[in-house]
Amino acid sequence: MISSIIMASVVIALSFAVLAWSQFRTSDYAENYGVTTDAEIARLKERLTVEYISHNGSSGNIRVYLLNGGAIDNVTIQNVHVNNDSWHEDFPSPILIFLNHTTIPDQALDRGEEGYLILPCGNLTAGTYYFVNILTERRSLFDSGFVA
Amino acid sequence: MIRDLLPRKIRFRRSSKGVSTVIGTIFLVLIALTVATNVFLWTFTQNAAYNQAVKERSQMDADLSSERVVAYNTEYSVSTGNVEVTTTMTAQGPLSAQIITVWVTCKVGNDIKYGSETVNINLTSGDTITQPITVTVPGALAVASEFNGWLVTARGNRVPLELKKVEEIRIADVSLGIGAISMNFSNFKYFEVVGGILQNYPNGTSAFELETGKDLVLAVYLTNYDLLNRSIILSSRSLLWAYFPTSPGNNGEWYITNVNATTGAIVSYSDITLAYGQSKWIFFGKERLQPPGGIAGAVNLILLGTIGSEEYGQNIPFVSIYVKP
Repeated sequence: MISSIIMASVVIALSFAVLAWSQFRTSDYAENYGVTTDAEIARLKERLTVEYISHNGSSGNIRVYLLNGGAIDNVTIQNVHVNNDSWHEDFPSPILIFLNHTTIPDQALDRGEEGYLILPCGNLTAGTYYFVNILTERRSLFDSGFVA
Repeated sequence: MIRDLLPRKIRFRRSSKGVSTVIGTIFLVLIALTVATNVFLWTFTQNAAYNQAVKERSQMDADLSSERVVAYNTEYSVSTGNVEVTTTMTAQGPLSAQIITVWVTCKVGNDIKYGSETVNINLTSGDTITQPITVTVPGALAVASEFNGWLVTARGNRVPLELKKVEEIRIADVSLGIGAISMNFSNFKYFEVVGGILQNYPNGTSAFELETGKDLVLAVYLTNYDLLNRSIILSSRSLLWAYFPTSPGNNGEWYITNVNATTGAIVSYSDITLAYGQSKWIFFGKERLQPPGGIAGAVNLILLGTIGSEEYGQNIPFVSIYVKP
């Protein structure tokens, strides 16, 4: 009789422990799943429009003018990749500048905001088409191009 | 009876060891249910949120492709560092549109200069707005050439600034593709004049067949399609000339005239201005139709005046007429 009570108590205690552990694991999984889903949702809402790309032959700089035409604020640029068939260059975390030439304080474009990046590309081949790939922190990729 | 029950009680006490198994099973089922329910509900909620985001994205894409803004009749004028762009913007699609930026590029020597201007122009569906916009273009000079421009909408569409409205390029409308003025061939009317008043005004009667011996005012419907968007001012020398090969002595000349738009009365002539893209009824006469009936004639439209700041002259051999017997 006593052994049965002890056994039952142990089973109850163990069961509560397993319940608590499974709840923890479930909430952990749910949190991860939620983070992933939220990131995907945020990524879906991102849209950057390249308004214009200018190339200054004497300085070698290109300016990429951007508009956040999406439905989410705080679009930050992680990397810009410029390339053609025989050349490529990466520009990690380029500085975002407002159209009035002041640096954007939070380095992010909110909805409807416009800004530009200066990318020192050096000597590009005149008359050649170059591709520009812009990667955001949320892992969205936007493509454009220009003729040097 | 009691004796019969005693062994069962003893058996129950002996089998109470299985209670822990039952409790464990119940907890196991409880745990499984709790975990499954939590995961299911959470996943369901997250999927719903994701689907909603996908729907919103699809709607954004649909709006982006449905937004149709056109900009035409664009004119550029440049002063040092500034380019003034005058353009006509129309929202042709089903959606309203907000223009947020105007871009201009131009060539100075071998360099391309560019600039943008932030604007806030709102167009509801069907709206047409003509607006001058001054864009700061560093390095732009009066000698700049090869202008190019575009608008950016809040949705991210880029709209090119067209010099011409595409549907206006209709060669057949312009007499043989020559000249700045075209006439609508299906609209050629006459009015009999009695006491200086046009009868049946403003409807008139088709003028391809006319009755001789009557005082007539002839009317044509002209449109200014000047390639450089200039206004045309028609002087009093402009006339409509009818030539009858079989009765050359009865050629007729109907000089341009003004008609009171309300009463239909002929009034003293003042220069008529035809702005770019404008269509207008132009009246000629009064003059009596002289030739005998039963003959055909050719009609020429002789237009004189100024186009912009330059002299202008155009001769349109446009219709044939028949004089009824």
